[in-house]
Amino acid sequence: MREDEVNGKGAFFKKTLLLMSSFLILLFIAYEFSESLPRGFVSMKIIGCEEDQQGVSINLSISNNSSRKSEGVLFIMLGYDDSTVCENNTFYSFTGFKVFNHSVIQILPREEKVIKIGLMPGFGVKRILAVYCLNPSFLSGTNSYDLIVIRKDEALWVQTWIG
Amino acid sequence: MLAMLLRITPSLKYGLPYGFDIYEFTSRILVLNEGKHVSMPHGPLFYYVQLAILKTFGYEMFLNILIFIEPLIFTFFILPPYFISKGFKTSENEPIYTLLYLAVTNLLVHQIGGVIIPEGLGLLFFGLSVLFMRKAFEDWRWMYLAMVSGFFTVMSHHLSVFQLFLFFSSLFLSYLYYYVRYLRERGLLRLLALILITIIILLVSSNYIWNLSGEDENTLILLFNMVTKIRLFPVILLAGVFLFPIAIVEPIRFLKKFEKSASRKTFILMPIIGMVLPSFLTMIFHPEALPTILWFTIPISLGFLPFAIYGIIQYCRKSTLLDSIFFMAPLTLFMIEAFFIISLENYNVLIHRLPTFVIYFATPLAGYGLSLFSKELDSIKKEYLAGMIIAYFIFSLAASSFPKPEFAYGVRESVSYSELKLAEDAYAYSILFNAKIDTDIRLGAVLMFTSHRRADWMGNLTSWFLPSNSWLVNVSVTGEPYSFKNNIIIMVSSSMREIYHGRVINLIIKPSGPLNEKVINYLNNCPGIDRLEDVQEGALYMKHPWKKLNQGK
Repeated sequence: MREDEVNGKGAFFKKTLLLMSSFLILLFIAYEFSESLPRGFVSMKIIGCEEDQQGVSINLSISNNSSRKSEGVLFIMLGYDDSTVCENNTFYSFTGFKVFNHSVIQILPREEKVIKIGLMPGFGVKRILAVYCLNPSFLSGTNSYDLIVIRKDEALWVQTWIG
Repeated sequence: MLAMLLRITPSLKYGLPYGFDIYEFTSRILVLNEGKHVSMPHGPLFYYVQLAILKTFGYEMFLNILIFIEPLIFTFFILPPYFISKGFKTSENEPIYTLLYLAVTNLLVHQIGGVIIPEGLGLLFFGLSVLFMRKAFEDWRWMYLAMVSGFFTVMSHHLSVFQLFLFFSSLFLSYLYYYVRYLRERGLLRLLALILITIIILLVSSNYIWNLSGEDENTLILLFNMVTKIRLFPVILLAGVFLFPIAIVEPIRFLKKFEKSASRKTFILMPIIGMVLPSFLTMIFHPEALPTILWFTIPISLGFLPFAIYGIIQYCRKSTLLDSIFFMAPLTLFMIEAFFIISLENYNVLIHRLPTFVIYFATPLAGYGLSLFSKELDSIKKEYLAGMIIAYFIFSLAASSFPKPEFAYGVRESVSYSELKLAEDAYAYSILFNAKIDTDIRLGAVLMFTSHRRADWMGNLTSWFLPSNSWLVNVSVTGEPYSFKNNIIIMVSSSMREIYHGRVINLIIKPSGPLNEKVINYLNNCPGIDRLEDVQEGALYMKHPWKKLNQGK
């Protein structure tokens, strides 16, 4: 076999392999970046809770850890014996709660807002639940024992049991 | 460039260090920075290098270097096998193929640069030791550098030094047999003496380094303790010392007569052995791990293994016996090690760490096998077809480097900013309520990082042999929630949830499972369990937290 034939063997394979594999891997990397989720988030926590004969007072803190303004609806709900919180991979559902109050809360980027809640729960109330819905157009039309369903990616909730 | 791009991708995508082990390691660095003592179970070098960076550049810059610069630096740690390949004295070899494998093979992308861990540093010095050992055949003075890099391997990573010890031991035994049986040459005798000195240096320095590490966190000590409990171990070891070199040298002499048609048999057999057999065994014994096994083994079995085996066979045929032993002896011992470790109860899961070393060591042969394969294609059409097909195999090797939880035994490797906040707040609550924190290994590492290892974290990070005291771990295994104490904060993330293909990450040798809906319903609805915080990706739960606090006031 001639030397030039030997030297040329595998050259086309090498070019094809290196070019094609580089192209596919670069595509893969681009796909990975396209899948990136936003890094900002909103969080809510209870930073204080006192219960006495005058009622219950709760301090809530909502933090906006993102670069965009957050505007949402804060529901304060009272849960009774038959109240339940269920969830699947997409929704929260709150059953058997009475909406005590709701208000629109706006939080600027990187801001933490403290909200004081004071209430006299009434007979039979077992827990107090706060839901912050990140969708400002979400409003429950009723404040009775309805089923409230909220998308998980639009909701934050915390609760405390009383009594 | 490809290697760097692949390794930096998760850092750029998530903006945080990739993997969760890095948080555990960095927490120790933060403690060292405060002037306090902390154990360094892998070996001190990684920690002190990071500490030097922290002290030089400050905390913010240190984090940026850790996230965005170190993956690029670690990429260069793949180079030693490439230089070994460049040193092959065969005309058909194309070192670029070795470099391609080093750049894109999933385990190498993950362990060297994808995640910043001491193992990456250990692999660098392991590779350098192998490279210098190889160069010592041309000029014995390279052995001094092999000794130095061996010492740095000891300083870097416990498992790497174990593999290096096996590497030098296999060479020593095989070359000793070769010297006695076939070639009594002064140069070889000198090399044997130097290898023996290197092994002694490894053992002595390992013993010294062990004293710096927490004993129950050091893999070498745990392996040593387990192995010495086997009654027949001294007999097995003695038999191995005599039989191993014979089992290496004589078959190589046989392989030199192997037919050229080895290529066809290799390319049919390897996917069967590398893919079908592991998948079948996994389906029988651990069916839940099947997606993980398929994810990693299919690309390796199709894109790497056949060429590596073909490369080994052809290398043994075409090179000298001395040269062939250099690769065959360590590879054979690594395989024996793998089988042995599988049989050790509680240690069989170390098997997932060994393939990285084996692949790293075998890449020059895989590159050589691919080179030979390409030279045997006798038309442009075949070269084009083969090039396209193998390009897809190469792509599959790269694309399987950072698996999603459903393909990684439920483990989500990336950590999010919201989980960092959850860990910070859990620590703050634990101080407020004087409570312990119950969470899995993944979030536990983050907790240790955010609290500078001050958090009172329940869990068995260091207790390999005790039953779990973690509520989360126990309910994830049984699926049945039970009442927990009032002074415990339960830190839950969506990464632990069954509905998101997650898992409560426990020590790898211990059972764990995902949190099912029954457990979540219990946390959400059991009277007395407050949900203290929600960060969208996780939540904190605790029983009657405010009652005790208000009573105290």
